[in-house]
Amino acid sequence: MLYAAILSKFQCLIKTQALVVVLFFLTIPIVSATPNDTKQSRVLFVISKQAAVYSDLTKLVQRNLHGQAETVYQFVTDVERNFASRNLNFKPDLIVTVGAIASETVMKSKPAQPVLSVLITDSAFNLLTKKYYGSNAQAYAARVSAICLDQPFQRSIKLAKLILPEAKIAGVMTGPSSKQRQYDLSQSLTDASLVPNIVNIGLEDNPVHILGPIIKSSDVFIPVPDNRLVNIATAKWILQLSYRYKVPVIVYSKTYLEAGALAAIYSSVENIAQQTAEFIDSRSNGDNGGSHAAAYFSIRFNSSVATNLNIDLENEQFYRAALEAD
Amino acid sequence: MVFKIIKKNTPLLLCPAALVISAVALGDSMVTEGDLLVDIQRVNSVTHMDQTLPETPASVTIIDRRMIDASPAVDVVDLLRMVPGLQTYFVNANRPGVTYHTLGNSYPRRLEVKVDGRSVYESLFSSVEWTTLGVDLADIDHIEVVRGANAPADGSNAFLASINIITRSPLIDSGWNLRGEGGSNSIRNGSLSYAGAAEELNYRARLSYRSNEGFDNFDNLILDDGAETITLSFKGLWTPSASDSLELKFGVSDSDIGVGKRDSIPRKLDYQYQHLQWDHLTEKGNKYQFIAYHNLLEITDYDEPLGFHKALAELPDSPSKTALLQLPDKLIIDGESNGESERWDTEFRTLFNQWDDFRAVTGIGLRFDRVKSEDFFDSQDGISKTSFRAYANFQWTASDRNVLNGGVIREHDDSETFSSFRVASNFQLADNQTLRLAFNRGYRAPTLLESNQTTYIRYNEDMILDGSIVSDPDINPEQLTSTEIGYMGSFLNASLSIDLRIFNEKLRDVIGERREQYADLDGQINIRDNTESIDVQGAEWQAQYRPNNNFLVNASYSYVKSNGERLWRSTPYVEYRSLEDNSPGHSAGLLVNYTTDDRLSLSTMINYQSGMRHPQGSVLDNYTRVDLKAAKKFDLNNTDMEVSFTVQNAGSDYFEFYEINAFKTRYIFGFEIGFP
Repeated sequence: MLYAAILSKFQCLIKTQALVVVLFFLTIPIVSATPNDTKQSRVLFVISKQAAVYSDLTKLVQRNLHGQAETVYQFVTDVERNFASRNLNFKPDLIVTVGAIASETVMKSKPAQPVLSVLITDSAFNLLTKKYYGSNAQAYAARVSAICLDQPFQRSIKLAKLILPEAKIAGVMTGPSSKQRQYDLSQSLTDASLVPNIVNIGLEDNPVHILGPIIKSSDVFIPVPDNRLVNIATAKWILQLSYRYKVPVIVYSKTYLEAGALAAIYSSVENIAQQTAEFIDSRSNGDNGGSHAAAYFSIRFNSSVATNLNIDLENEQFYRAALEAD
Repeated sequence: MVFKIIKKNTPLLLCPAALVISAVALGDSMVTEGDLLVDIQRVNSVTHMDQTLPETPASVTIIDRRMIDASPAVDVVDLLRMVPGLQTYFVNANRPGVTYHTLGNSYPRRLEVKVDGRSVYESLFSSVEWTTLGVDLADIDHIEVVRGANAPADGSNAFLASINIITRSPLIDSGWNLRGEGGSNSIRNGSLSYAGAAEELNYRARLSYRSNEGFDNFDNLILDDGAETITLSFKGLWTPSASDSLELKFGVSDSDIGVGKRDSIPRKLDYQYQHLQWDHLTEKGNKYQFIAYHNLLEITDYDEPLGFHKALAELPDSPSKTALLQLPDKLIIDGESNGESERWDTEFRTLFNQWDDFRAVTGIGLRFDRVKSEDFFDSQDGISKTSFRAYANFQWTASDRNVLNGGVIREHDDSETFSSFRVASNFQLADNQTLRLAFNRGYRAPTLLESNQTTYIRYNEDMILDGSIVSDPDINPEQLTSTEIGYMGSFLNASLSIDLRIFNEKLRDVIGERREQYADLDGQINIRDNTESIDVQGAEWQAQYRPNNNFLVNASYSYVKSNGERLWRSTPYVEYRSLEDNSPGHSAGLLVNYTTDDRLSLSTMINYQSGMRHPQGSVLDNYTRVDLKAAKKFDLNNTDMEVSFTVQNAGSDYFEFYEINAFKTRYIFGFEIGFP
């Protein structure tokens, strides 16, 4: 009885040891194969300047990519003026430019590696690609890509419609830099069953005189981002006139919202970082470039403005879910 | 190690405006990330630069439209009770006084008060005549109160603190607005305004009338300190281009108020102002501002005329009295006393926003002050002073977590030149939490009154019967050295904000009065001189909770410990007196408002102040004042209407400044109608 028990234990031990040995030999090739099969990628971040928004973005992208199973990343971040020497020494597989100035510096040198421009507006990217590659198509062929900072206008329209389903007329302001978009903007509004009420403000125009009648005759007003002077110069007047005529304003930035708009839809650093990390991780070296609209967004509301306008707002999640449903 | 903690969904727009990149290098026809990240509107009273509260080098209390609507305030000064450390009191029912921490006498003179950037501090009394401001509560957009010296931006009048009342843009309203209030103490306030446009000029004009009977009589003492004020104000806005705007403001007011401690006398105040401001924005985001204004205050006090023999009759018998009675009788105090205070001021300001992490503002200003009062200056001629100022303030974002501020102003007038400066470091402890260390050295020049006062009662050119006050010829600027630790936190998705300030303020060469022997009938005279030294230590905080748009809580508390001494008498012997208890040790305020979805607003405001000795006033006990307000808004056929009922001091009486100023419970009904 005792012998049988010992034999059983011994057989069990033998089986266990054999299993361990088999597993050991099976594991060796897997473990030893990992370094050879895991992709290596060297990413150079070129930032426009040493400022928080640029460095925050690169850190977040790196954090998002850290610990990816498929690829081991090496990162280097430097300001645009050091690009040439960094590119030479680091030999990156991918160059990520952060901001328009960094994009221009890199595009000017037409590097052999793929380039991804982030924290850049659609307008700036188009202008730079035309300037340094001749056209967007040629830039794409040279494996230049962009993730645009500006939210698609259709998203702002949809948010406006969700907040104000009864709105019929949408006022829109363009400036010198966005004037050429008027036809597209008008088309987008018409597609959303809104009557376009578009006005363009030139630097020499009296903004209050021009904006007043437009805002007064609109059910909702959506300023389109333009160059800085126009944005700053008109924001105050737009908000004050919207208060006078009780017309809600949907804007593209959080400070604009806090200054008195009803709602804002914009790209946060986290939104851009997430999309950038996903792009880097899913890219293939042979891919052509392309311009990608902002996939993610942040929305905020100004409840005191809503109260003043007698608008009942749903919670943020409601609007987010509806916008993401597209 | 990543030092910066990045909160999920940190908005890009929180980043400083200095991140904005120059679009010029890349072409003007495109929109850059800088154009999207640009800041739209911020606090600018502290340095004249647009800053967020965590960036400012001083503590700031903002009283916004929501708080104004929620408060049971009937007047501008009532709103200031919500500011920690700010003392508001009524010397007379219609002559309020406001100071910060200390030196709250009958004419507090160490606080700069501005309306839309125009200084309303006037030189004759070296103080602010609040009744002449002509600012209706409905006209206020918000008030920025800089708690602490602000000389590098506002000049030497901002010795202890500064207040900037920003009025609403004419673009915000349209059509007619009629307001009225009536209630206890015969309060009758009414105003009619119209906002509209004439060609390209948008404007708002308001005609206001305010009257009340002042404090009730005290025992058998008749207090005739009521007021009647008529004000007309105009604010115009012209925006000729996207980069230029021009604001034009002017106003006139006519006030009749009762002033004085026990024997109130009528005072007539005629006030007018004109104010022009031009703003020009450049493509790089820089801004040029040109500001020019003119204030003129004409004052007439009406008193009982006093004859020479009648005055002598009040004196005890003596050989000199007998000798003086031999002189012919004549008027020695006229029944009417006139004064004028005029200011012309112009300033050119440049705001630099084009650099990374560094912003600056520079300004140069020229000011002409003129005062005239035979009573105060023993002359029928006016006295004037021309002063020049140049200043610079900068903000440097030294790192992701540290913002440095510096500011200096150099002021020069006919007699002297002095500089004030401030340095501050704002360190970000964590997301939405900032610790500030600041040091301030400021000077306040003697006003025209302080350096030139000569108040005599004369029999004739050669004979002074009574020397009242004379300024010392070698009077020096007052000096303030202050250090502070400030904390600002924002929690619960910014619905809760906390502001804490711990301060140590040393005031030296403070201008007061000392007694000296003098060869007149009473044998003494007051000499205006640098007589006081005061040390002020303490802490104050304010917290605001706005979980939603229905609910608002604003709480504040201030502890002030003030010690000092005053040179009371210099001849025949030197005597110093203590200046303890000249500040309220503890003061606190609480405003709670709830507004229902159908626009019924219910508010309670509670203020507590511990007992104190008012400089030039009375020793008064502590008090707790409870104000209540209920207001309901309607929308009737496109007409906005509001009715309100306010109870001020819904408890037992308390006293303001003098032991005879009993503030009794007041009931005030109000209405407002807006026609589009």
